[in-house]
Amino acid sequence: MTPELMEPAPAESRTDGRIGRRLRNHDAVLEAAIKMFSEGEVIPAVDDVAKRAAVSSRSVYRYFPTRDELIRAALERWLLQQAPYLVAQPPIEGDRLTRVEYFCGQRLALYFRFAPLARVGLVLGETDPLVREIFESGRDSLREQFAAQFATELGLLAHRDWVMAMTAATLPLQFHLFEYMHVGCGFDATQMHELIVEHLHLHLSAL
Amino acid sequence: METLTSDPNVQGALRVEVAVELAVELAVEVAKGDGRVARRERSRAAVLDAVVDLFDAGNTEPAVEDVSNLSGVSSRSIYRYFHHRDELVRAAMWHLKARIELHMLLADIGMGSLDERIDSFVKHRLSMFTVLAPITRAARRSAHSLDLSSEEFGAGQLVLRQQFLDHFALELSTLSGQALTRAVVAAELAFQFDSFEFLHTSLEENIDEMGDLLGRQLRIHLGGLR
Repeated sequence: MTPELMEPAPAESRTDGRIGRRLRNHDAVLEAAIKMFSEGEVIPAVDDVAKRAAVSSRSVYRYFPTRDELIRAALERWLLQQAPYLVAQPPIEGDRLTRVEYFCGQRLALYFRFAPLARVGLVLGETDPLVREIFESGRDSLREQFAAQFATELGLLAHRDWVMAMTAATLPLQFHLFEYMHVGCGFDATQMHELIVEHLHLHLSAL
Repeated sequence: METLTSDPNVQGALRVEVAVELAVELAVEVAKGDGRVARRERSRAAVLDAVVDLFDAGNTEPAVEDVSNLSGVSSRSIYRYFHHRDELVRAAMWHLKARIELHMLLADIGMGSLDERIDSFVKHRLSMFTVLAPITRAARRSAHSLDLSSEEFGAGQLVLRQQFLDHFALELSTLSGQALTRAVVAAELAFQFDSFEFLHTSLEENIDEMGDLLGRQLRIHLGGLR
């Protein structure tokens, strides 16, 4: 064997190292953006994300030519990471108040976990049909969960009445109203829980 | 078509140009002592009217050319009044607020039976919604980064809340402190702009059904109070 063949190919190993670093930096940038989202920054500036990830802004722009692309990639990664928490809980048995309390607790937990993500998604969704679609399908499955949990109360209604009842009952479970109660009115989780339990219980009992 | 720019370089160049122009204008104004300030105010209002009208027509990204055509104010002057897009949109939202306030008045506050007051309240809020929804949607889409709801519209929301408190004072008078806050927040949930949007979509834009549902909501929340 000639000495040249025994040596690792230098060019190739350099490429490997560079690709490895590139991937690490790429990940670090996305993770930094996700951290900033969860701290409440809806659309962080590229320079701030770069600083947080300890990567140059130049590199960030190499991975993501525009801020929108960076934000979208980070949002997608975040959605994937959080997917396990989005698995629907099966409906529980019990009297109406028990089911209402359980269901409202689930929804509040979901809100407190996903609020920062939803804020980013709502802003992006204004211009990005794909993001809008993801959030709309999420909303649909939340509606289906509600219908399944309260099938006893909703099941006997004619179509139009069913739509009206669903709309009235699910109103206080909408994201914007959680935001209104929590951010706008300064309610904590307990106060929010009390209020939506009462609302839901009143509306389901009125059917 | 030229859109209002947020590119800092272009803004910088415009600023220099504007500064020179303003200096010249000032010199002329001092020399002539005429009503330039008044004219400037009129043109500025015309520009904002035009932006609000474009929003109303569903144009969420109005180009300077459109604003100029509609208002009769030159693009150059528009850039002079508003250095970049955010500033123009923000100013237009203030302008819009003045329009909204005209629609905010509720006649016969506190008059009539609970049922009558619920009906008049729902009718009033629904008519506000029908008039203002297109414009609010467009302005929001175009201004989502400005966080307008919290600052500029805080005052408007207070007016609306006070209206609610006055209109249903009889029912709410039995409550105080935390219980009052809770009852008011609970009853008002359905009357947020986004709630109206939710109802509008869920009920396939049927305004009568929206009215039924809103009336029922208020009856459930206020009916038990007295």
